[in-house]
Amino acid sequence: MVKGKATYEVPIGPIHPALKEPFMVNFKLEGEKIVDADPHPGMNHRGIEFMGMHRNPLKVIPLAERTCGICSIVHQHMYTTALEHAVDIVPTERSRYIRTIMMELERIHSHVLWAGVAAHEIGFDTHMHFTWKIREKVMDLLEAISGNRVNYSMWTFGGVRRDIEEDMHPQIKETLDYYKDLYDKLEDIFLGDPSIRHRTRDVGILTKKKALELCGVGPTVRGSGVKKDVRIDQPYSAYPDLELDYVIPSRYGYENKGDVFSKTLVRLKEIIQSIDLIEQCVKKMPEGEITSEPNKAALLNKLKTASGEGIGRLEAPRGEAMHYVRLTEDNEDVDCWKIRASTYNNLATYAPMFMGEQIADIPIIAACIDPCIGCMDRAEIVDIETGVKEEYTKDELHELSVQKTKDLLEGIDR
Amino acid sequence: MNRKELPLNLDELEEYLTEELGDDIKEFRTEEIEKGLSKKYMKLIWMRVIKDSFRDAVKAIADIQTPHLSVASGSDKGDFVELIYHFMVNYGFAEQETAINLKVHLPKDDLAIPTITDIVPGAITTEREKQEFLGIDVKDIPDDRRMWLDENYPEDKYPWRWDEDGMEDMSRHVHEKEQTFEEPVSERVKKEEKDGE
Amino acid sequence: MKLSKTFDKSLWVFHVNSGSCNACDIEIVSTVTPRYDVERFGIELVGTPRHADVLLFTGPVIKKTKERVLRIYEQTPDPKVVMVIGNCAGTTGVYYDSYAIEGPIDTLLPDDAHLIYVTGCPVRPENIINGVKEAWLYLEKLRGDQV
Repeated sequence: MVKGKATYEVPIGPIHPALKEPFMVNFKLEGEKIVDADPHPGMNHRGIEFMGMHRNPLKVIPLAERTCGICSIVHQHMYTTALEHAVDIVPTERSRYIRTIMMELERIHSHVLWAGVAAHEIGFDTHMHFTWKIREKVMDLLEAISGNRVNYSMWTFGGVRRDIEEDMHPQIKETLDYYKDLYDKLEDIFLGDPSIRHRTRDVGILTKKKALELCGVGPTVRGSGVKKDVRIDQPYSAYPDLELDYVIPSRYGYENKGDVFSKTLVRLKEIIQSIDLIEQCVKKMPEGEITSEPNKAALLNKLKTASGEGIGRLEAPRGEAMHYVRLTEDNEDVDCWKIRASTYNNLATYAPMFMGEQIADIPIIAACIDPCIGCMDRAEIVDIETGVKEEYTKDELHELSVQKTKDLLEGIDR
Repeated sequence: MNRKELPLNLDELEEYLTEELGDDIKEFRTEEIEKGLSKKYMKLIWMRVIKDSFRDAVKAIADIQTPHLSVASGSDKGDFVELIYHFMVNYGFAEQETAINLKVHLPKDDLAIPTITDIVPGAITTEREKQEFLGIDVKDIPDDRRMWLDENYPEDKYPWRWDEDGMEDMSRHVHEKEQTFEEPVSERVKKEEKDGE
Repeated sequence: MKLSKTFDKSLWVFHVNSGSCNACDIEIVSTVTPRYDVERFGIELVGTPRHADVLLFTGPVIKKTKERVLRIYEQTPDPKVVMVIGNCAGTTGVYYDSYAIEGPIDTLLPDDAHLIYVTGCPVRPENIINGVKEAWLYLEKLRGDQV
């Protein structure tokens, strides 16, 4: 037996179905308390940038889309806008509105999905199934517009490949109304329920100073009161024409605490914001062509000798992301391509958020930056001094988290 | 620096950066791209500084506002490696955010660059990535372990390099793999062969 | 040991992401949640391969996960069925020329592994349910056999 304080190391992961950066996190523990967190990404590294630099610019669009399945619009949008910037292709006005509608629909589906994952992590599987049920409504709309549930293949240089016609407007309206009706229930569950509040308030705090220093992005830092939102700061597509404001907790009478609760609040309020933005888009959508480059063969021929560099940025559901693309005259393929997804920047914010928290809080804090599901595949405890190994499976870790909710519930006055 | 009122417009930024860095800036261009029906502009600055004053340039940018480092991209350009640090300043002000794309060229025989994690702590992920993918030696980096690549990969091979240190020969080309299954033979051909015997 | 009649009516499934883009993974979760709800057929996602009868592999196998994928296959008790979910699991899909890819899953597993291919990029939940039906049919044939 070890006397005094022993430090344990708990590697959690590694298989985690995220973007380019799935990770395992290595925790150092003193008893129940986390004293250090060290993320190890790379278990899902497919070398997409390398492959992209061996293909011609048109072939890269489907590859860019397959960087991540949850944010497939994000990567194809950034890649196409970066290349449009590099070679001065101007997307048509109508296509900008269609792009915006698609991106906001994806934000709704992503945030609803996240709410379900968060509920699952703290042991409310009923809520998880509830949110996944209501998510299917927006998936139906996305399928009606693009023809596929995931990986929409909508983007092309100079615009989009499918139009949103007049006869689709009733379905869009019906979907938005469905979410408006349900929104109060969602907010009641995630912000009003005392047991969820106990699990999320003052857990995983990211201070505003740390958030700025570590270059965090998206709802993760907006929960701390940082005003960073590419849609407003550096508007793209149709956002310059729309009315929107930074979603930070203080706007709704809450404190900018930066804990899991604040991040939940920001994500939920963004669902309402997205509904509003889509309504504005549908109202303002101009007539016209959907792509400015209908002839793909001529475009490809032009891109073979084109040169230039450009960046494409957007506010993904998980925060700011960007692509850098460069073409040169003597290289038919993409000369340089860099993908930067949101979780890449938010990775560094794990360490301050985990510090001083308990093992049972690992699932919810790990989920609160929205790194996509399932990172708790396997956890192993290694006692540094004795070298004794204990194994924590995903289920056991989940059990611990559920148990903590139960313990808290007993102490709550209902 | 006497801190100016934020947000700074493109001219003020250009004036400030040339004042701070002087002749160390080798290339400088600004860009404005029209966005939306309401004619708003996305603002960008592309600049290249000499390698020795790279840290001064980052400090100058950090003096404007706690900078948002989006990422550092890099590519092999033959004789040298080009790194581009994409900083964002003026965030928090509607339509004012400006991207400062800071380029620096590193000759192949001296692929070393000082770390900027003391100025921008969030740069650690991207610096580790550059070490691993381009073989850059980031001086004084607080954490130089491998991040993305398999532990069995050779230490001196880098995926984004086009020279002999690249990973061209390591790609699998699954689509060119030899087919191992037997070709299906139709009944007619079988019969003909049988008849031939 | 003889397989009992109830065995193939309650398939337990373990999901392995060997390097996929996440799209097939969320469709798998969609399949077990209320709209498609395969749980009404007794199918459940479990947390460890040791409890599983069916393995779901998504994505091409990348070099870093190769060992782990094979270990998970070995840990799963016989009889087992492997469902290859998505085009990249079956053929590596768009990732065909990367340095980080080991190959499609069927080239790595032992020859006697029973594979069921579910195609699509990403797969549709209906197609996954169809794949589960195929797994049933296979296991039904085994009923009463010595394993």
